[in-house]
Amino acid sequence: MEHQPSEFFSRRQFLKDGVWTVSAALGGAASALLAARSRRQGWLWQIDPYKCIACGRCATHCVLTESAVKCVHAFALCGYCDLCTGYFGPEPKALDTGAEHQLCPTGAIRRRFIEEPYFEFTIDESRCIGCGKCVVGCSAFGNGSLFLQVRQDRCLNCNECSIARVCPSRAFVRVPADQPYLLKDAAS
Amino acid sequence: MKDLSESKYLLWQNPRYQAAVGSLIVSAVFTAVAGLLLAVQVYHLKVTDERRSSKLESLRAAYRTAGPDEALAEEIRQLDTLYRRDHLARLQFLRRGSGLFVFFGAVLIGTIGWVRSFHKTVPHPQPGREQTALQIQTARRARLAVSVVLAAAAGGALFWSLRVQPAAGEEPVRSNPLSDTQTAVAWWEQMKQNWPVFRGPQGCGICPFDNIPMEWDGASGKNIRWKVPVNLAGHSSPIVWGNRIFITGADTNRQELYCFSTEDGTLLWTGSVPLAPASQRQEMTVIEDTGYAAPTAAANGVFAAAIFADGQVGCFDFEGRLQWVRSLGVPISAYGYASSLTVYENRLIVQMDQDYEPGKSKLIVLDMATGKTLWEKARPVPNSWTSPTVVELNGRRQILTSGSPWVIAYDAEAEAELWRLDCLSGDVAPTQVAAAGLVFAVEPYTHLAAIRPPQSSEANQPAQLVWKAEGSMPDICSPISNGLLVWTLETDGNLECYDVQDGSRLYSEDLNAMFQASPVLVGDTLLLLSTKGKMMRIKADRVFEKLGENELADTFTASPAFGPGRIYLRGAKHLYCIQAQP
Amino acid sequence: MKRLALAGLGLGLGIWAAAAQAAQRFPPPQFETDYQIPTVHLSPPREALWEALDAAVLAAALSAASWLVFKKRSRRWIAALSVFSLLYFGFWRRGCICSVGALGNVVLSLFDPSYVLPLTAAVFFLLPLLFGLFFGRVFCGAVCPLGAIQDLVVFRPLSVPFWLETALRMIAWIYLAAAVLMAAAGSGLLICRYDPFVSFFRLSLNTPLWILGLLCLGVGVFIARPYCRFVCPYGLLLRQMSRLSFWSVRITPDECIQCRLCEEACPLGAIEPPTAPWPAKLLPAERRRLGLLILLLPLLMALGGWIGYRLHPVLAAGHPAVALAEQVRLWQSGKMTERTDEIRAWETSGKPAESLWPQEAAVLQKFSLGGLLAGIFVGFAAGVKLIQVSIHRVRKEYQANRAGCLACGRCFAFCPRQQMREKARAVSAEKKQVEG
Repeated sequence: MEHQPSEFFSRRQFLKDGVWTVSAALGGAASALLAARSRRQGWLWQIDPYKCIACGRCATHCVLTESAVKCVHAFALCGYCDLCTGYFGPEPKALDTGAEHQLCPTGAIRRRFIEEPYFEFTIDESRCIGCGKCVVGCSAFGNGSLFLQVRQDRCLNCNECSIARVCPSRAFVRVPADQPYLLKDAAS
Repeated sequence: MKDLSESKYLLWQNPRYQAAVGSLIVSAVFTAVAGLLLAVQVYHLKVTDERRSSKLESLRAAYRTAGPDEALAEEIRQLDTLYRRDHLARLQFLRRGSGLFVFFGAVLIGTIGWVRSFHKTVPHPQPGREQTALQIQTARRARLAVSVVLAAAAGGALFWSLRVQPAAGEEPVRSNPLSDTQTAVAWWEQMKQNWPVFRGPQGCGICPFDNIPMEWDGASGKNIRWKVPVNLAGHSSPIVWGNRIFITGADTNRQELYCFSTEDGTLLWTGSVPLAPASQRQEMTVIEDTGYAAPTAAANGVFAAAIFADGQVGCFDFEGRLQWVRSLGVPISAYGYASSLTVYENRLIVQMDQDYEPGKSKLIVLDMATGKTLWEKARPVPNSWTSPTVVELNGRRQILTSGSPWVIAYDAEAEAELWRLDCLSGDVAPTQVAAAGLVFAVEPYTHLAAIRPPQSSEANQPAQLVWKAEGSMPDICSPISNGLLVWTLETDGNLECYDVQDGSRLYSEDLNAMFQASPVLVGDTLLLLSTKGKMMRIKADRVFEKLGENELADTFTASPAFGPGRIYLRGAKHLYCIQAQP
Repeated sequence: MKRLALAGLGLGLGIWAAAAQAAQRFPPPQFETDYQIPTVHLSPPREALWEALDAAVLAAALSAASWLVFKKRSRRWIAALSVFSLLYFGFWRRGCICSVGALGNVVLSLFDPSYVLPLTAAVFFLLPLLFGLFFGRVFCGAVCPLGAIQDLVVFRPLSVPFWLETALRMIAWIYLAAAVLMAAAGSGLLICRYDPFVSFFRLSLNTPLWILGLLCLGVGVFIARPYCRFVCPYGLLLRQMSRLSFWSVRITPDECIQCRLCEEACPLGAIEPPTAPWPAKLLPAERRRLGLLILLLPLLMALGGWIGYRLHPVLAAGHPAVALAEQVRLWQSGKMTERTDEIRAWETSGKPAESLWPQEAAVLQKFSLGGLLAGIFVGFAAGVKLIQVSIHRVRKEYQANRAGCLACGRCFAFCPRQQMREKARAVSAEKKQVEG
């Protein structure tokens, strides 16, 4: 196309070819360097539960209408309390499942009797909006077995996470794709 | 003109064109309707649902404060179900609707293309302008336009940069509200009307207020004004300044200073003091009876400071804004660090007695506004569990400290030691008190010493040991004196009374209870708070006379604090306010 | 005190001891029934396969675009490919990762040692540039989803005069400088944050971005692809590649017959008419001006550097470390009375305020150097642009501007040579059929 046999050896053409060769070489070298420094595995966004203060911005700042962040319950850490401060609002009048006592704005926590005096609490994921109200309640007076996590099956993995940008405790971190969750465990 | 309208007419006759325009209109209407419906739903989602959830929240709050109200509970349940169903329906609508909207939009774009394909005109080049003039003009305009954009960008950037505050990157300058002498004089008087440190003004345990209730009952709630939970545990005592109560609490993970309102016990704020590095904390020995929050906080009317078992000091203003944190190093202490803080004007006094041999102990005086060390002095004592007190003796404000073997007084105003006396040994925990010009110090299990500090302000005047009374002395509770008599209270309940004049024992009485809180004196009544919550009232007289006792079922290790007409007690998990109800 | 320790054991402070020693306030219960503590099950992320597939699709799309532009020379097919790219990279893969945004990842990986660039991001950044070095901006024309969505709405393109286009492109240079600075200093990925179309792709309810996107599309009806031409920072890199490219898009398949039929064909104003040689009497004045402009270049760079340096506290204000330090300062001095989430988080973290100032100062220092360099860069770009527009180039035929042509193929059909070629092909194909 451009390189049709020229009638005479043009200085301009020579210069152009030179520049092209040099840039191609530089570009190739830069590409090789970048490729060598890169790694196959991608990054995912995740919340460090030990940094999170459950401010509630996860519920409102995700690009998804229904946030990708939801609450996780680490059963092994749970005290199975009858008076669960993650389930009940402050000073509940009765310890039952009435909506008037609950802390969760969407009623996403299920309370189930196990044995005297223990109750199991399960998160109904389809209802959880990741507001973190239960997380605050549980960590203030309980064991902190409730915490927020980015649900990787929901997360769009935006290049710049719009929750991470506003996270006040900078609890959003990039994690390698093969360790997608940062869970609390009983050992730590 | 005629040609044009004719071609238009022909175009309109074309059934394919009609179809194209028709589908354009239909898809435009569909797209617009879908967009409008979506916008309405988004509005509801963002505004209506927000309003609804805050309404539900306020209903729940109303339900909590009101008495039993089954109707309100039923209303909350019904609204909760309704709102949630609406919200979920909206979400589903949005999910499906936005997909449809995109589809309609795509169809619309396609049909626009279709209609346009009928309007294609053949290019019809007009006679060109004179090229050279055009080129010159274009180049000139381009230069001008680039310059304009550049100037606009530069101007905008400069304007923007001018709006910036220059403070960035520097530490905030804090005013020191207690710097000049006039306020300092006022401060001493003000301090006496509060309960700013462990055991109140001058650390003497004497209540400066009237109308203190003498009777209450936990079971019936009589005279209990309020009771609130305290998040983290601690053996430290409450302190009070104005309408604020400060309490410290800590566990292995957190160290906190709480500020409660005196009126209703509302937790006004919680201040966190960072932990010392884990590597250093591992070296720490803290027994259960000391805990991580044994030292009592101190307040000077502007700031409140707290120290914890790992030697971390944090200072907050009364609104809970962290002012500074100092790491004084994890103290080496056989049972865990327990010395309370004390204040004098804007000075925060830390008695850092540590290690099993003398050499590492210090008295550290910090600027309460900035946390900077004003001065510090090495103390020739090993670890101790007493607290420093700032008292006025012979017209001179001094910092009293007890350690093994020295009772040492420092000048509260300047960096100077005033006097010292060798009279203690072993693990010293009870805090010295001053009364009638004397200082009383306790050596656990063995004796009570009465010290007369030097009268004149001249240096090198020795302090005198006036008397030494042998007895079964306490290992936790501090002594108390009304100027005529001194009382000591043992952990297992032995109350002893000595004459200030000669140290003769007037009585020794077993109260049949355990005590960790130090005694306090209200008027002519000694108040002794047992660990099980019995507050015994003893007449402050030469003979033993028990006036009565009040019960409050909780575990008490902290000493009582006072406000006008009120007693504040810290139990294992709660803070109580006791006030006589009219 | 020793007795104290012993006595304490009998005091029934068991609850306290538990609270003080264990992080768990309430120990996990010992169940008497056969209740099993459930394990936490969390869904795994979407397959990593997608990312590999994305890179492969990108490579395939770029190759296809190059073939379509240089061999097939068919606008229809190029448009079809761009619709496919819009559907795949845009609506299916939700706009992430894209080559434009990958610029931020590359810069971040160069300056933040803890961030290792994922291979996919590297491929997305490099591949279009490499193709650009050979084939020009084929990425812009048929592969970029941001370009494709704007390309759909080019209904009534007005021609933007050359001088205005050149001047408005300064916005892109400033944006590029700012985006690189922000990514390098750790303030975030500006390009992704203000991507006007990503809200469409994700169907997310970010109102300001929807307005921005609709605005872009609305303007795009009259001014073709405004984002690509005046804003896109990655487009600037591709422009430079395209200037050097080995092959470049030609309007005519063989020779220009100066029919001027393609004159108005390009909605992007990338078709340049032939030029007359410069009148000799104007040459000295032009040379003098050129000399002056070359002298102006270092001045502009200095001015840009000065402004960039002055601007650094503003630029740094969005950095989390600086923003936090600022809030803590306001909080401590009592100017801010509301305890914000940031203040709560900071207090919970237990970092003393003293540790914030050095961090803030370090970021500010980064920004002062970065602002200086970014300013110099913008000054340089402006200076070069001034020189560029003052250089007269002689063109003998209608040409697509190498840098400005997005390889969309709209002009092909306007060339009578192309029409003839297609007709000849059709005839030969028919012949073949008849023979067959």
